[in-house]
Amino acid sequence: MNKNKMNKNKKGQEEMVGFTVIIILVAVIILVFLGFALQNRGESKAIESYEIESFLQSVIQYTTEYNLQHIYMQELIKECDIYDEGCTELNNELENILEKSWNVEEGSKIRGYKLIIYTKDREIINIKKGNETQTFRGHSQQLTDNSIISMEIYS
Amino acid sequence: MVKNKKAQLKIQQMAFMLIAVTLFFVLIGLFITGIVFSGLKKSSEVLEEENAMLLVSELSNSPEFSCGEAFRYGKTNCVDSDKIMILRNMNEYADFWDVAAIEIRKIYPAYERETECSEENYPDCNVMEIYSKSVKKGAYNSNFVSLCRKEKNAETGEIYDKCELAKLLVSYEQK
Repeated sequence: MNKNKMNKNKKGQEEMVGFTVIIILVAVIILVFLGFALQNRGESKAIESYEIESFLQSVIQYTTEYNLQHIYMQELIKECDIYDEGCTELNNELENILEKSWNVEEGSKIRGYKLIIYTKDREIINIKKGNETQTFRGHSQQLTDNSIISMEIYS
Repeated sequence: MVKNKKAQLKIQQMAFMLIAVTLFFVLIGLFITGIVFSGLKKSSEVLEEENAMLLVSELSNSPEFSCGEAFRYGKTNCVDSDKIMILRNMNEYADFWDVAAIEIRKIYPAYERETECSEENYPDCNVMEIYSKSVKKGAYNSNFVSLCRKEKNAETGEIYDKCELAKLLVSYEQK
């Protein structure tokens, strides 16, 4: 009779220990998943950057030589968008400006960059260099009625 | 003997539960602290960057530096390089800005070597030192600006806007 009672107690205790172990395991798994989920959600959004905003503003105000004339980059973008002319010159000039302005070499804080100029219908310019990471800063601004310039810097 | 064993088992059970509960709360605590501090660090970095950029932008848009209405597209972040050349020699402005040093460096078109601007070599130069106080300077904060001037076309004689990409650098006194 006594032995029976003792066996029952032991069984109950074992079950309780098992239950606790399961609860801890489940809690740890939930925490790990939650941690990953929150981390990813936080990093996928670009941080608005005043530096990139100033860079884009300065770039569109830059004057370049095109067809023996000195014109603003903003005008060259319009030329490329509306008449499909000067796009190669625009692309080359933007590539050179980006190369001199943002250092993506080894040891640099910046891992890569992406600059896109687009309209509702098509992509006018797409320049990428380095690696795209989850941590990035960016800025977009309206150029003309239908074109937008957007830039992202990956760190 | 049976009673002792029962008590021992109960103590063991209690110890197990206490360890489990403590571990659980420690994990939750670590998790929350991690999230809170990572957010704080990020927002402090962003705020610091924003403040530095805003101070430099404020300077580039001040009447002494800005292009005003002189250029077609120069509205914000546009610095008139002719104004800067005159401003360099004006001692009246020495204490006007509460900073230790101000300079402008051309980024693009790139120059092979660093050449400080003077009345003799302007505009074929790439560094314009506007102001430098003889104090211990902190790290430079910088922001992109377009450096504009009026230039004459050698062949046609036409006057056109010439804007280059530059960085305005500001350093504060280190206390």
